[in-house]
Amino acid sequence: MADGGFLTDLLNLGSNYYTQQQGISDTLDIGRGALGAATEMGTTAVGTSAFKPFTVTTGTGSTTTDATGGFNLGLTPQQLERQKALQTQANTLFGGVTGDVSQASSDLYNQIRGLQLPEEQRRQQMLNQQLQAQGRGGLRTAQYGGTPEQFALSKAQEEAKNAAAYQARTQALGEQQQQLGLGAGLLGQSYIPQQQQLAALSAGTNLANIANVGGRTGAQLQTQAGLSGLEALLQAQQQAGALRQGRDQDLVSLLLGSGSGINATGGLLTGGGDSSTNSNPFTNDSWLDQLYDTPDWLSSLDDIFSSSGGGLFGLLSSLFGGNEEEEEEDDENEEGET
Amino acid sequence: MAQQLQPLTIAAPGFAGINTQDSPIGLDPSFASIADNCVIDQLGRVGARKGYETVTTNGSSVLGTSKGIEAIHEFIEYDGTVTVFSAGNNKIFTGTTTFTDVTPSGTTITANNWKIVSLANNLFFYQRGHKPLLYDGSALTEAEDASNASGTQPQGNEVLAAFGRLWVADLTGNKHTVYFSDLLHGRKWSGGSSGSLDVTNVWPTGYDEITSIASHNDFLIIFGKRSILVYSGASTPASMVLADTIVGVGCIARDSVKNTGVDLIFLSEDGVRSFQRVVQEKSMPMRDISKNVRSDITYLARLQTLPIKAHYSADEAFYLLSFETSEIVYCFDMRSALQDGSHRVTTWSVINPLCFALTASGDTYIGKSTGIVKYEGYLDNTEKFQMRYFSNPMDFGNTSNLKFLKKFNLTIIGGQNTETALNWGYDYLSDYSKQSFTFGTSNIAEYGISEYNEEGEYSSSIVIQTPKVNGSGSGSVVTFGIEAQINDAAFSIQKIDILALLGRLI
Repeated sequence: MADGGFLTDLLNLGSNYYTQQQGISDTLDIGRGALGAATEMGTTAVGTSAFKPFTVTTGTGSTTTDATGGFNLGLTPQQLERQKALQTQANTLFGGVTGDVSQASSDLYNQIRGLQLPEEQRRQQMLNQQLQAQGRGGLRTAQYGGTPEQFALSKAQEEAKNAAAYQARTQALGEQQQQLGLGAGLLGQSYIPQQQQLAALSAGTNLANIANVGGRTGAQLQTQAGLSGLEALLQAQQQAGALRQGRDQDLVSLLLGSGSGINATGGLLTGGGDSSTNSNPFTNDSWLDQLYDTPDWLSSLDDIFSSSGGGLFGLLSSLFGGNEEEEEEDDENEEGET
Repeated sequence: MAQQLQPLTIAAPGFAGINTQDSPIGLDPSFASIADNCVIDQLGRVGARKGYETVTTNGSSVLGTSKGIEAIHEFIEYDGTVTVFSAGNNKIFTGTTTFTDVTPSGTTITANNWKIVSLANNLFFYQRGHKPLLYDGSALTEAEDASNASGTQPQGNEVLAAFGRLWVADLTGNKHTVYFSDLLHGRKWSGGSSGSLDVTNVWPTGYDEITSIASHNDFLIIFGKRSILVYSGASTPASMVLADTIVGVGCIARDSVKNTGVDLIFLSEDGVRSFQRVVQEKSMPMRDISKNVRSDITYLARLQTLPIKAHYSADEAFYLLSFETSEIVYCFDMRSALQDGSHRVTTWSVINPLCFALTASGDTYIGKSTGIVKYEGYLDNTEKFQMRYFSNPMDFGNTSNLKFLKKFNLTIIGGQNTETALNWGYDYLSDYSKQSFTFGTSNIAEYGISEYNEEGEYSSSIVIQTPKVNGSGSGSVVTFGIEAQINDAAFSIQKIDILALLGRLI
């Protein structure tokens, strides 16, 4: 159709532009939709897989976790009282550990000597009586100080004192060691409830993990399912876009003809049909419009060819200039993507 | 009709010594009321004591106006060296004939009441309030300055060398502690086996003061004034044990304690006593030696303000007890005891000894104002001395008749050139009738054997005088006595025969 070539080409250009523009728009819409769905799925997954604080309660107290991963080992008042008492006792014992060994030795020495003194005094009295009876109470010798018996007794007493001192020292150190052990034991005992609380928390954590794993698995499955659905939706929309583009192409071809050269065929608007009816068949509420759910731009083409509608320039203007409302929507979508 | 004279024979008159304790009437005539300057001789007779001969030649120059020699001790060293030490005029001398002043220079001596003992070839001098002195064979020094001396040297008044150590007591302000030195070291008073024994709480009477220490019968005897402590095992002082205590008898004079070998004699408040040694029983019964003169002894003892000295001589067989203040010496014959356990006692006067010492040769040295004198001879330093014997009043077993003493037949052994007076009296009166006579000179044969054993140039070995004296007067109770001026000859009363006429009953 040589005589109508330029206009046809112009129309074809416009139609092609239009269909491609529609394709772009559809693709962007699909992307936006996918993005929104993915975001919604992610939000859902995050919400589903989020850590849920829990509380473990035992006979010794309640352990409460928080959303940040922390926990609070709460003991019962009785346990706290007992822990305080044990720690007080442990502190007392530790005080003994760090106390003065000499003083402790001295105290023990006095106690031991207190046990020994009565017998020593009895022996001393017996010896005094014996010496007095023998007229030797006043005997003093360079060899023994007093009598040999007094020397022997004094020596035994001094040896007993030495043994007592050594025993007291050893015992004092032993008692310190013992106090250390007891203190450490009491201190360890004071933390047993908390250890048990921790153990219970571990057990509770395991149980919580079970619930959490279910949630996470559900969220994962949900996400996977959502992704699958999203992919299917994308494919479907992609196919729908392609089909729509083909449909629009077909409609363009139907209206404007297709092919070139010898293969060029005229469209409804380019002479390939009834000129008397040279009007847009996709006008609103026409059967084509009803059949194809013609887009607005297509259904308004009637105005292109009509004077009321601005004629062909109006058509071009609508094809290239687009609808101002659509452009505004596009701008908004682009901004949303950004 | 004239009555027949009754012979009254008194054999060995006064051989039982003085007896002033029992009632004179009925007393055995063997007791005497006075036996002054007498001893009981080896034949049991009353005889004159010996006199003394002055040994020292320079006594007056070294003793000055002091009392004289107040302590004498003969020290024999291991090598046999004999040194006689004496003390007087606040000095220490050696020698007997000539005094050599060996007083340590720098030592202040204010008294001469030293007690001197020897131990381990050392001689020790002890006196209250004075530093002990030591003679080790070379020089006399203060013991604390001697080599190997240690500890505080006790300044005791009593010292005993026994059981291998020195025992010292009676210090100024401490009369209840006995200090003992180290074994064989009288100068070491610390370390070793030295020590002390405080007997404050041992006295059975609660309180007493140590006056003397002695060893006897393997016992250590600690004398208090009124009690005695007897310790056994003193050879190991650390383990010695009180074996016995004697209450009520003590020793009042340090130097009265003398060992006789079988007895330990000492002066107590109630007379002279002795421990008799019983080895097997280990007990020590006591005897009252001065029983017959007890009151005299106790009376004199209380009068004494000067030291009481004693002396025992085995050769002379006497124990002398000198009361310097009273200028009388009691002489106890130690040959044998009388039946009641007492010993025959006589008295000495005039001699006035300050101290005694017995030498290894058996001589008795006496300290006097002139120095050392030796108990020998029958003159007191060339002076005659009077011996007195007086009987107790005797009734010869007939209390109610008058006795007319008609004649005395005396038998005297010795007594050459001795002026003698026979005294007799009646009825306890001391206004005696006297009859003096002097025995003639008689030479005793050399070695007691006359030449050719014939009467001739020499007489027999024993001079026997048999004076006969006519008596006078009468009385129911008769007392007689003999006073003799001992003139360098022995004089013993062997027998007195009295021819008496018994008169009417009174």
